[in-house]
Amino acid sequence: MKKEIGTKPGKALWRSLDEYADSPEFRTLLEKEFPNHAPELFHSTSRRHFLKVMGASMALAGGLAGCHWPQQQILPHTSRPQGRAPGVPVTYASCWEQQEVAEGVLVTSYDGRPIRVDGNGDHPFQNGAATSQIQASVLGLYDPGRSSEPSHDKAGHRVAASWDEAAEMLRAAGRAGKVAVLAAPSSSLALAAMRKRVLRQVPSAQWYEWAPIHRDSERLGTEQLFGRPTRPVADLSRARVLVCLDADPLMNHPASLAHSSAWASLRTSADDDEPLLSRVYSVESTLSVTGSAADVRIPARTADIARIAAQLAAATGVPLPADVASIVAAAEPADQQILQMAADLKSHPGNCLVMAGDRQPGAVHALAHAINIGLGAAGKTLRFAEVERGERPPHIDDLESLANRIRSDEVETLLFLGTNPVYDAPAINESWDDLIAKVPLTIHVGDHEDETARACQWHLNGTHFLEEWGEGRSWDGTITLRQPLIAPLYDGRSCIELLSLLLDDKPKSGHDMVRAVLEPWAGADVDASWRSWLHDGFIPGSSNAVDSAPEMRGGWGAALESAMQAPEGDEIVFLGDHSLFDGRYANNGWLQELPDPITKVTWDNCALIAPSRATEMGVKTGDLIQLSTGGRELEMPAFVLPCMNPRTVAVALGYGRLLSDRAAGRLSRKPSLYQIADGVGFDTYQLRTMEAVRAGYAPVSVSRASGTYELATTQDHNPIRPDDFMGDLEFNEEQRRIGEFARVVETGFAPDAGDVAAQVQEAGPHHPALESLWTEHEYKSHRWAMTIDLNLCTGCSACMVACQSENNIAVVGKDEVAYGREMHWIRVDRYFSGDDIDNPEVVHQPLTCNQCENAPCEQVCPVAATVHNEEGLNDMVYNRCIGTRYCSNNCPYKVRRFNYFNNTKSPSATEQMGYNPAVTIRARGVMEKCTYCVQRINSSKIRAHNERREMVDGDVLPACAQTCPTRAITFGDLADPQSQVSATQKSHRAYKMLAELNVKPRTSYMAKLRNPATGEEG
Amino acid sequence: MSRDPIFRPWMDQLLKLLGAGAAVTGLYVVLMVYFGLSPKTLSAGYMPQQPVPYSHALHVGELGLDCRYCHTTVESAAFAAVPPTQTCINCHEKIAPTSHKLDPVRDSFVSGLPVQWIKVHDLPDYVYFNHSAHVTRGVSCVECHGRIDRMEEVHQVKPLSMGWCLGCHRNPASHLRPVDRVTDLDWGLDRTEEEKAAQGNEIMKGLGLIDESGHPTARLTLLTNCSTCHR
Repeated sequence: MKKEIGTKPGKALWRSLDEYADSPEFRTLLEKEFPNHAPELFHSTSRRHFLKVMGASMALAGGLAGCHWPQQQILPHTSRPQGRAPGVPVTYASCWEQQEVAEGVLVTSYDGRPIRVDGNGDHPFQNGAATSQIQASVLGLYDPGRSSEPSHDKAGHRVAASWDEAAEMLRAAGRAGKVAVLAAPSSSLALAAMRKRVLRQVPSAQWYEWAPIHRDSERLGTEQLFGRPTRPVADLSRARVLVCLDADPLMNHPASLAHSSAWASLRTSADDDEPLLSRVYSVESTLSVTGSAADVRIPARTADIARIAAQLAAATGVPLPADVASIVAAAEPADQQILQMAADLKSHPGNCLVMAGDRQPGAVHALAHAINIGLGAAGKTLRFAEVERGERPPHIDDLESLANRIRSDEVETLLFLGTNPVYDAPAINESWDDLIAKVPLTIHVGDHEDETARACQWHLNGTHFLEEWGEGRSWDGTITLRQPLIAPLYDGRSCIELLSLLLDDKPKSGHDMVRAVLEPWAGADVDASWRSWLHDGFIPGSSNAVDSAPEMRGGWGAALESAMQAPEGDEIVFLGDHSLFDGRYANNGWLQELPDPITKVTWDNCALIAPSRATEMGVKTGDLIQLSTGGRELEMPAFVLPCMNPRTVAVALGYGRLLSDRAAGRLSRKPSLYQIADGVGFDTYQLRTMEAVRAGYAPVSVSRASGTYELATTQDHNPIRPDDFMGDLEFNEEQRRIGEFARVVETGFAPDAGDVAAQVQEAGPHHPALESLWTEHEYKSHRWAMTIDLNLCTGCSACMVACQSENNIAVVGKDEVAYGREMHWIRVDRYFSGDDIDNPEVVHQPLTCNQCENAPCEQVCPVAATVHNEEGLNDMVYNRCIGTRYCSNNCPYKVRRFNYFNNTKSPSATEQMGYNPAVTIRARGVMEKCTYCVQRINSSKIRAHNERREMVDGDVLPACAQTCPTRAITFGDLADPQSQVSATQKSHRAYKMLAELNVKPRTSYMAKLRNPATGEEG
Repeated sequence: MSRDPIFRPWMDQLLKLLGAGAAVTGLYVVLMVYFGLSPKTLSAGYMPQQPVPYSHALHVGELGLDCRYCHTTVESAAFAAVPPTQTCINCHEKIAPTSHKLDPVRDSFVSGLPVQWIKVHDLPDYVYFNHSAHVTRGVSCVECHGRIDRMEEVHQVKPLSMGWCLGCHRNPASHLRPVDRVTDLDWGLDRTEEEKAAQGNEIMKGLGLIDESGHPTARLTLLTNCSTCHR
């Protein structure tokens, strides 16, 4: 499909409805970089306060006594471990687990302190990338709000207990029997072994599992379709047409890293004649990350997806079991969009895939897989892997069974292994607080004294994954090992060690238990196998058996029919938060401050509603609305989000936590100062009924409430509106700037390179030839540069957390973010484009310091704190900076961040351990910005020069490039003609942002290609 | 004048005197701060008291231990690590086993707690100095640390200020020597300036810091770029 060039002005980019409407609020943001800036440092104007502050400065000045700075000690080892050099980071393999699926990670440890978690590139199911949650997990280790000792109730107070007392209590409970365990689901073999022992050894023991966000309906779907539960393993690298039914495979899926990298392989444009572009359809109720990257998005209620799936099945004409076929045939006729989707799928047999999301009931998953098998996807884009413990019941049923047992007094001891039902489980006739109160002995194990811990009599502090031995299985079943990087900071015990305290008179160590359970996998030399597994981080060849052509069967027609009978009206859907997931990361500052990939809201959750719905209700972003569902009510701020289905309200889970609660009488023993999760957001679990958990949605009634709530969103921060500073040049309507920051080109399955190149250039501004005032510098050594491929960026924001972790970037808090003072060196701008507010297109653009060769910032620094180096980097010298902020004023990209406050003035002892020593920690009054990870460049260069060799492409990877799941960010040396960055910067899709200013940025962008449906398929 | 003037005549003189005094005081304060707070004054000569009276003059000067016997990571890492207690005990388990000077060392070995050395050459935290980058290119220990092999107690001889570092970074020739002579602290003392410059230039050519015709390359300019040391 060729787009006519030059006749239409094309689509302007806008980031929020305020920008689209050019509202007065947006205008103020445009004119002043910090519009809500409170000019006075002192919010209270009392004389006493003023003197206090001045007095503090005086005291500081008095510190001039003693002319040499404070002495520093050197504390060497008494006996240095072999191969360890002080100050040289060492990397170990470990495993991170979420939603019962492990990911292999590489943890960098500096002098015995783990400071970074990255992906393990050697792991067979991963490509070395990591999600934002994996990157932020290291901060959880150093969380000062973690519980630091066992505690229990004694005479109405909560007092510390020793592990000896705890062990005694556990052993007594184990002997007495009638123990019920509510565990967090895990793929750990050692934990599975302990579970079997508990059920065998403890009289009348029961083991239940609960997770608020799970993939039970996917298991159920395969069980309905094949008679036994299996796990669908998708290979998106062959899916030329991908249909996502309320699914988010690129972000909200345990295998999202593998999916992202596979999806990315089909988004490169053709440099030869081979057609390569895929087409992704997303049928969803709320805008997900996959939806934002999709080529075609069809908003529909979550409740209606079952009907749409049936229509799709009918339109594709795939063979179905008899009872299902009759239900599908009885569905309403499909509309044009569904027919188009079906035609596309049919024209790519074997290279297509339909995926259903975790909110959809089992029958929809079954139908989706029936369509896949019918279209020949089995064995090509889809395989069905064996799962462990296929017979286990769904989590929600487990929860109900446990509640019933408690009510019938069959439970003497209730042990929570990392679960938090008081916060995240739906009430089952009574609240979990009340249920727990019925049990004689209740024990909670976790890393925080959370809501459930405070309801229980005992709390035992657990370990962070970086402190324990363990293992897990990745999505394809590969056994991934976990080893401790540091001894437990607070003498915690891992889950398996705790269960050993319960069962064994002589408790076993985690190391012994893990080794014992993995021994059957070892070769002849068990020690050698064990060492090599620990080195690699996984056991090669341990993935689960795969069935490429399982036999379908019927019997789920009734389930499908009842899923299709959805009531009319508004629905509410509950999303796992993109940062906090189910709330477990609520105390993690990096994740709280990470702008949500879709809404760009930090530090809060909100109720997402569609623009047309908002207009109907007379509501705008920030207004409070009341949500009533299933007899519960909650008031939340609304957020008007384009692309939402008008009849859906979406809320994120994981907020409204209470980690320190004075009212309950059971004080959390850590100061509430450290519980940053408290008071943040709204507890949407209160709205989530059993019905909502089972169905994936619930009917809701929405009404306007009175009042507003301030949401700290970064979506309108740092807007760049070129017509303002290019006002002198004449542009008429046709030559007006069109989508120039993030350039998007519409094309088909087989993009033509020349055509695309022309459109990319056309999308840029027309300007005269660029000339410099002065002779430009000739770069004779390395020329560091970066290319960011907008075609591959999904907006997941893992790069933002990786950068924060690598460069010790401070967390500033909600108020400061509202002022526009967030400190992220890399930000991902999310643009909507087009005039259809209800369903515009979305493009994400990561933006860092572009290291301009003609940098406007360098020219205005009065103290030469930012200068250019010989390799093209714009150096930021913190110790010279005096904080005039003229450089930030001059930066056209607005990528410089200023430290308005001393954000790192008094970090707790554990937070200090987590800093990266290779990067200076900035104090107040100093400007900072992306440095292309100059510390990594320097250390690679020094190593190369020490060894008298040249650096090769790939020696240096900045943190953002290393962690990007789709490899959207490429970094390297332009002076090396063979390097990847040289090739990408010459690509026909490449362009430089704001190049007409002649700042000569070193970062190039590659235009996004969109493959919309044209109606010519089939 | 019918009445007494408000400002007596002698006040004119006083005013001139005060003005001169203020100017001199001002100049005095500036010079005091400039010279008194300069690294040459504050840092050079710094000799903190160490927990163990370890004598480099004895071990290195007399006994002939190479610097790298104890400071093992100097060629591969940024820090030239102070040796672990084990290194001392390697010899001192049998040599001077009852000397009281070695009490802290033996205590450390037995208890597992480190000996608490005081850092002598202490650079600010925003300076990222890398030993391996210097030692493997031919910058000898003596250039920055002086004649350690003659010190009973280690003290700082050079100011180690940024200006002082830049003096070499701008023109390294006379501070370079063949890499295998780096720990020979008394090597090349009797060279003339011309010999030093000639040798240094040869080494610089080998390192790619100057080209064949003696012009500085980009690599040499990189030595005076800010991000080389400040990140």
